[in-house]
Amino acid sequence: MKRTITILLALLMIISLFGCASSKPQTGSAASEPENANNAQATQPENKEPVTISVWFATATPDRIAMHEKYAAKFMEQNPDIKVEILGVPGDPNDFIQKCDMALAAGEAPDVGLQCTAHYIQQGALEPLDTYFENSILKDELPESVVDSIRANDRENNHLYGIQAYAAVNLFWMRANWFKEAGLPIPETWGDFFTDVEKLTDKENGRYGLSIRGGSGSAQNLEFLMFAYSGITDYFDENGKCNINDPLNVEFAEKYLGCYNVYTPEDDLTKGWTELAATFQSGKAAIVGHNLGSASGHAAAFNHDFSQYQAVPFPKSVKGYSVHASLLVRNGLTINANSQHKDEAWRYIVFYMTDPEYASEICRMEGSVPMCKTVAASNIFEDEPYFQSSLEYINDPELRFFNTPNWLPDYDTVWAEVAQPGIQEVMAGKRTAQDMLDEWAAAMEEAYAEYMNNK
Amino acid sequence: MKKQRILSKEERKEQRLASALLSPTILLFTVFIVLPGFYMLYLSLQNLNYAKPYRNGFVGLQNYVEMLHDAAFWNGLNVSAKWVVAEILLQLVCGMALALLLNQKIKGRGFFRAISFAPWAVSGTLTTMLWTLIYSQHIGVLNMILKALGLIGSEGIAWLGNEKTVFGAVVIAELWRGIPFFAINFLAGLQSIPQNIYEAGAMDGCGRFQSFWKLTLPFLKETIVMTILLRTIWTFNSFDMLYTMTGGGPFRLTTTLPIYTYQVTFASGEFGYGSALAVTSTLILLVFAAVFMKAMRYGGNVDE
Repeated sequence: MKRTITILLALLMIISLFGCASSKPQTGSAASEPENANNAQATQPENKEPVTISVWFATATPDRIAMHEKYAAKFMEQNPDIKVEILGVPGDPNDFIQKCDMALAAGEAPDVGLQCTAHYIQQGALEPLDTYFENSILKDELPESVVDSIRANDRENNHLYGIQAYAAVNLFWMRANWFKEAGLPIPETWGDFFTDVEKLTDKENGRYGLSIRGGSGSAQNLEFLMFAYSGITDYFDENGKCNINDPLNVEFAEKYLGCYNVYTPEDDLTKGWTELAATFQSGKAAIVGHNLGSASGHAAAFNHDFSQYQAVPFPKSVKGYSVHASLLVRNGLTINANSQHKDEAWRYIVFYMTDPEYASEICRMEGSVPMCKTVAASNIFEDEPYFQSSLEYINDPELRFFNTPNWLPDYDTVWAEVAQPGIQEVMAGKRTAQDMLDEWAAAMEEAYAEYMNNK
Repeated sequence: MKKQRILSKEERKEQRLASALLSPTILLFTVFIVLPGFYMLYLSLQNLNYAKPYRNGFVGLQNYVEMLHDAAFWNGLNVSAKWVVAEILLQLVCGMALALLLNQKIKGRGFFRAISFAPWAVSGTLTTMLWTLIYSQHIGVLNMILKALGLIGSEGIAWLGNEKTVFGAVVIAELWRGIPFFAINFLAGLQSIPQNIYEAGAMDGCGRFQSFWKLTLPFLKETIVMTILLRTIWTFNSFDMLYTMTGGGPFRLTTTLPIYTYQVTFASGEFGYGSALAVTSTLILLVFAAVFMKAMRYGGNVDE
């Protein structure tokens, strides 16, 4: 009897191993991670049950996830043959990339959500969207310049691998009431900017003129500031020389990073975007350089009191015109090349782009301006002055863009391995800005040469 | 040569039953440890980067050669060594002190034991959130207390953003989490020591220190060795708290070898080189475990 029981227990343990396999995804818009997205519903009888598509979003917060789920429900009402599973990945964009990479390696990547970068184009992870785009209403909605810049990600074949729905506008957030108390106007030149940073610093009372992003994302942050200052628009020249260490960029980096621990808090060294936003919202810093993405957080912290805070575009460059990073946001929508439901994924993308209520909430919550002409022309921003001003700024024909090399597979790697540690070293006074930018430029040139020799 | 005894029919049945009962564990171990281990070894001999398919392929020992010339690898190894030594020494001493205290017959001993062991139950990410708040330059309770005592200026200290303080700060956070494991094991060991040896020792004139050194420690030797071995391996491989607190920075001051391995593999997408780093970490721990157990003569008897 004892022997029989022990054998049964052993068999039970072995059977339980097979029971550890994941169950099929729940129906409905649950925020749980989708399983086997690429094989979802593959065996469903034709036209009998809805197909399920998985959609992932980066830099997710609970509010954003709730918003996406709400509109996924609306989409499913309008499209009863499709079920949408939303997954919001919190943290920095790098965290999202790492999750996507692991999911790709395991064959579990989402139908919609991989970033439109050379990293994924090179490995054949993205579906070309040219045919879908040419036959859809989006063809008349997106500015040609935006479509061209997305095509530039595929330098070999110029395919369209992503759809740019929204763009984050880089700018300064400033404590308008601090400026008023000090009798200072909002700065319109870089000279005034650095002067005001110094004047607004009062360490005894826990106030700093500036807070610098020294942690995750610091490289991208410094890039868009440097090019806004220098007015340079080409990341590489025609010979593959990188302009990141141009003397004007070095000049800015010296001034800006030189503010660390003089006019900024000491803990700036390790700050990511959430800590940067928290520094601004908790009344520690007069100015932070970020984008509209933190708008909803600031609005909540300051109770929509625009007398306390203000979004300010970067001053004009030393060359006399304004420069902004190319509008291509990495979380432009793509379709997984291995997706079993590409048509359904495309229908979701069109809804995401064109539903005015969804567009309005995305823009407010994620701090973006819409690319769709119809949505941009609507009155969705009439209550949000900085969105309206950002839209006008980004559509100003005088504004120039510097072309970020999103087509380069090692762009992110150089940021993470070379630029970000280097920026911290410059902030701490361990090396010069010239030295750091020279190393950054050399790494980008090496990546450029490798890409050109092997494409 | 020892002559093998012929097993009876009943004994052979028992052996087959024992093998059957062990089979789920062996299967799990093979599937989740052995096979991935071999696959990792296989990958370490490749270049594998999905974004650069033109470089992928078999490269033999090139990844290991590259590792020997990689300053970031040696930095990671150095930080790991300092991290492990600091944690194990401190956890050993503090854990023993706590266990000795909790072994005393005092009122409310059960309550004190419960709160002493509570940190062990807290996840790494929650520990990070807790200690990040404590160490916050502007709103952290540590700076608030130190400012109130007049020990620091009004600006406060950026404990995790200052190169002089960051390593010590993360060591203390992990120490808080790690002491209970030592304390639990030592307390269990203390409670298994027969009390009559202390009586005999007292009769022979043993003081408290002598009693601890000559009586308690020998009885606890096996427990101490196994606890140190387990905690060394776990501490070396520790990732969650360190990575979420500092990301390995600033200036790679807290980039241990596992964090560097993670960055290489998942941030840079170099699965081959990352696997080589992981294989090297595994070998380091295996060699350490073997040498340590041998040096401590683990499994020997306590002289009574």
